[in-house]
Amino acid sequence: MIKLYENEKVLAEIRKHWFVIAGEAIALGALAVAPLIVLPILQSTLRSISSFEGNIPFFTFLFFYSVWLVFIWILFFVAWTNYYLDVLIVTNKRIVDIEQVALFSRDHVSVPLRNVEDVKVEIAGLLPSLFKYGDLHVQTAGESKEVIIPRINRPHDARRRIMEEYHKLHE
Amino acid sequence: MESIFSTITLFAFPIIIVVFIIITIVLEHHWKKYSVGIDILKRIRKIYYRVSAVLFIFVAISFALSFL
Repeated sequence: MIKLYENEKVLAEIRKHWFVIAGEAIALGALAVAPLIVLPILQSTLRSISSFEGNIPFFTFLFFYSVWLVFIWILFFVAWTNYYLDVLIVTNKRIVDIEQVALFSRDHVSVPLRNVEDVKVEIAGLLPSLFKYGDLHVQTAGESKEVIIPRINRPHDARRRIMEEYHKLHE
Repeated sequence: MESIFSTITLFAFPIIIVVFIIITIVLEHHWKKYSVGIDILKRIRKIYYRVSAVLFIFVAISFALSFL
């Protein structure tokens, strides 16, 4: 996933919480069933306001609905790929935050551990507290000052891991 | 009205196949390039292609039957 320097070891790969992909899956699931609800309403509305009487033939409807499901299925895997490739990598020398914004948009921030000044965890709200996810703020002495990694799984563990490596480096 | 549906159906079928192929190539490229773990990749591929195959069977059958 990243090119490692000499004597560099990957200590942890931290991803966003599964709740992030579950939310997208639920939204896509709702989109998948939407035509079954919307189409009958649309047909009856059209009948009531105009002289429209024709029904969509059953197999034509089935064809378009299957095509719709294929689109939803593809979109889910695009979302999963974006979710899975969004990762925070902690090595014994640096922290690398890879943000897969979209399929063709990738952001890559690398912070040497010696530049880390503080690591802060922010868990705000009921769901983040229940499911143990939150934002990780890495304050650095570099140009970017603060790197924020949103909605990661168990941010306290990630913070502890980074601080352990930070202290090892400064011993 | 039915002839409009038939025309759209006729165009939609190859379009969905082309879209599926293009996005699958892009996804495969991302999975390989950015090193998705082998075990996860195996499972993901299995789910992705099996469900897609089932969906395309539905697409193909309904496509054929819509012209009867």
